[in-house]
Amino acid sequence: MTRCRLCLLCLGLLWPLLTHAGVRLEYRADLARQQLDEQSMFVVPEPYRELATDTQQYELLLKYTRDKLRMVIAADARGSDQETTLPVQTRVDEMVLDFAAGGYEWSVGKKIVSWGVGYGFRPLDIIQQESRLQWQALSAEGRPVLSMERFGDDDADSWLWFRDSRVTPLSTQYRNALAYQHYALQNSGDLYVVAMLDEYGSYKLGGGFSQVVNNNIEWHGSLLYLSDYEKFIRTEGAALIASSDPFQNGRYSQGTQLLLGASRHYASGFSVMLEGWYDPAAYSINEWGALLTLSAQQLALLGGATPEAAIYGNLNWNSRAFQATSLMQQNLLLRVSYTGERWEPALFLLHAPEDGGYIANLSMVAEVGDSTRLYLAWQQFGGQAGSVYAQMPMQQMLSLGFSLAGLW
Amino acid sequence: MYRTFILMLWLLTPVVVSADEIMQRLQHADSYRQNVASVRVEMQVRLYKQKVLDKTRRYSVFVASGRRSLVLLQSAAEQGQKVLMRDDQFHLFMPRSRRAIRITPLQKLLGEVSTGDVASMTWHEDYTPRLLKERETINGVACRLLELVSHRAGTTYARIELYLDRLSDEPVYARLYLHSGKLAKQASYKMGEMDGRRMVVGMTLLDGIKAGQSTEVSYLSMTQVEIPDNYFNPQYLARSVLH
Repeated sequence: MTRCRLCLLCLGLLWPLLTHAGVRLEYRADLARQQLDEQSMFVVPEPYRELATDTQQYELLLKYTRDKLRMVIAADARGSDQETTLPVQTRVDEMVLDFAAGGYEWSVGKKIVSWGVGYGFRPLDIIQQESRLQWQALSAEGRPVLSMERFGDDDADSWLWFRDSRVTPLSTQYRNALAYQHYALQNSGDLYVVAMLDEYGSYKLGGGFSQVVNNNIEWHGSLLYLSDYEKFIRTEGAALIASSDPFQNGRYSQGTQLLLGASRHYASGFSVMLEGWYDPAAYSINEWGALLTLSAQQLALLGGATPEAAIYGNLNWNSRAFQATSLMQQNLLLRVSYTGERWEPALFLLHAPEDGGYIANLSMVAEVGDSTRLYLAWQQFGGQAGSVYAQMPMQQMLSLGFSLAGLW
Repeated sequence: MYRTFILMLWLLTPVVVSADEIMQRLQHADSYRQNVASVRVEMQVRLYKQKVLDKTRRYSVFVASGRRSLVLLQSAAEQGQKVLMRDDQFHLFMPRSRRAIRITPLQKLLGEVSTGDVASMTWHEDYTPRLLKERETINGVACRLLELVSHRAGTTYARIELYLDRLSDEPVYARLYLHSGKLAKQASYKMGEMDGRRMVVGMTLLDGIKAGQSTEVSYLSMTQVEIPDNYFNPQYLARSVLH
């Protein structure tokens, strides 16, 4: 048992003593075992391997809401199971003051703003876009925001200034941006229009809807035009074996993100959802093809004059492409779930029609008592030979976790 | 002899009750559940399985005119979740996603407690009543049996057989049917004093689909409040002042 894990577990057990009235604490611990695909080009041998097979992750959230103030402070520790100490990182996810003045509702501080519709992918989340299908995702971190909102009977307008951040494996870049959302509540549906402009002149324009068709069927969709977008991609013209990191943020002009989905719910508690989306900010099938070909060429140099450290180092750089929020541009998602009283099993299948790859995820959330939840998930990556998902370094993953929530 | 004849004639004459009178009785019954137009209700819900207490949940419910209600889930496991009902439009706010999503009428029935059960405080705006039986005894109480048929989309139940105390119109018992015709629940109403007035202070719902499961709803307080219209705008649910 590592010192850090022991420390966080003790904190979890002792937290009632550390709390104040009105404070909500949430504690979550996750352990995951990943089976690496030894056939994958991206699974390099020791001592060059950067991928861990066993990982651990702990997160403690302190939430406080009183009158007009909301605060969420998070502490997390994560790393591989072999690590004896895990660095604990603390951050303020939210600290926002909501108030009314001059006929408008204002918010100032750090805040999570979500505008999108959809489950697997939300193009309209223009303030911040989370990885929607990641099982072990930490809680989201808000953005510095100053917002002014007007609420009518059946509509609302929001104007925001926010500080946008673009996090890449290399750096975090900040920029100021303005965003606007118009919301209209219709008899059977909700309509959204969004726009964003940043200090460098980049803009986004889009709209979306969610409509209830009858007692148990709903459908939704959204479209977002991007004046430009970025991908973390290998520099064209870099040497076959690069001596320094050849990846950078590539800038592309004009793109459209598109999502369409529908869900049906049954009185038995079962729900079925189907979504399809297109995201130009993911690698195209040609870009994947180029990266896979390049990786094969680099691997073929083994046994030659090129040092194996350089070859495996380059393959490790290449494998970061699998950490992108969206791996494929075209995606189809099928999700079947059951809402029970204590058990919530769900199965999702993410299919990439471009190359026949897939992710299958089976999960179960069980409620124990009034404030404890257990999580179990199994994820399998595969598909046709040569498909991106079939070539992922990770073949399958088993994850187990629990969370505690309490109010004092 | 003449008096006996008159008495027999009176007893045998079918009672003709106008639709207006039945609606008035239903509104009277509703006044035992919600006596002012705009209220905040604090309630506790206990879920039993095979008569053993399984869970306890707390809710704050804002009910306003125009068939608008907002349910704030207050228990540790659910805190921060909100369900908004406006006419036949339903939205669910989950704290982790920070946004309100449109849900189908069926979804408000799913989960541990049907939010339709805790947020619907009146019948007369949603249902058309008719008299089914003038006299029937339920739990030793002489009742009138009304049939309520939903005339609006999005109501939790399509049809309700409602037994009202013949003397006071207090709700005594109800059978609640889904749109599929299935008997979903049987409700028994508990009367008592609340703020010096005779009111429904609780109800027990016996599940007709999940055998052995029952829900006990206790109304802890009912306070007349002025509810800002903003509270019923789905986009407002993300604001911290609503908790």
